[in-house]
Amino acid sequence: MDLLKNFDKVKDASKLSNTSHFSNDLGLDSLDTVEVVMAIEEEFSIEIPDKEADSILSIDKAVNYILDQPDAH
Amino acid sequence: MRLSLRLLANPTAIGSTNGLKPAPLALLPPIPLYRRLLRAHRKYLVPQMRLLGDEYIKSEFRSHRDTENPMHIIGFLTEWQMYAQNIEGGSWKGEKIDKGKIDKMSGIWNSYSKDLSGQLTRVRADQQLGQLYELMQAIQKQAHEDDGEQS
Repeated sequence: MDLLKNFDKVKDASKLSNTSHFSNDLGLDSLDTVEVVMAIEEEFSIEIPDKEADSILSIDKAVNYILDQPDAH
Repeated sequence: MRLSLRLLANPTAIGSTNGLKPAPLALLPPIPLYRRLLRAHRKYLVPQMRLLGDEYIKSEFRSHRDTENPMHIIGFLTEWQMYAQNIEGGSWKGEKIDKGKIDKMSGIWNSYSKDLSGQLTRVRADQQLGQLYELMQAIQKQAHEDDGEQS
């Protein structure tokens, strides 16, 4: 799941941790968050429904979501 | 009475949906639309086009995120949603995508530049007024000189 850290290359990497909140800790706006979720979808070959995507607002949430997906690889 | 009204109303309703104006879209909120656009690009565009298209979507959404005029927002969302539908419908391929983007861009530009063009029209009107004034002065001067020659 460390792959996630590489996505966030644009943003300041110093605040990245396993529990970083996208907007509060990483300073991402709502559009950035969508882009991160899109990158996750692509990386793990999954499609995240909008309702779930809206709730992925931090790295641990994203990790948990991905771990819950049997199709994710 | 009610029944007859209904019967009368029905054909009009059908007529309006089949008319020249397309039925209004149910607009997606910006974030779901943004998601849908990026997904559509991922799914339907070749890599180069996707790269270009994604950058374009991102910069457009970012530069208009502080827009407050409701008409502009509706225009913006409508254009992008139509674009998403076109991409998903697979009707745009190759160079057509460029053309579509240009059309859409100009559509957005039109709605956003209305204020500006209004101002420009005023400026132009002022300039024309100035020119008219100069013309009038020239004519008066000429007329004055003509009068002088006659007398």
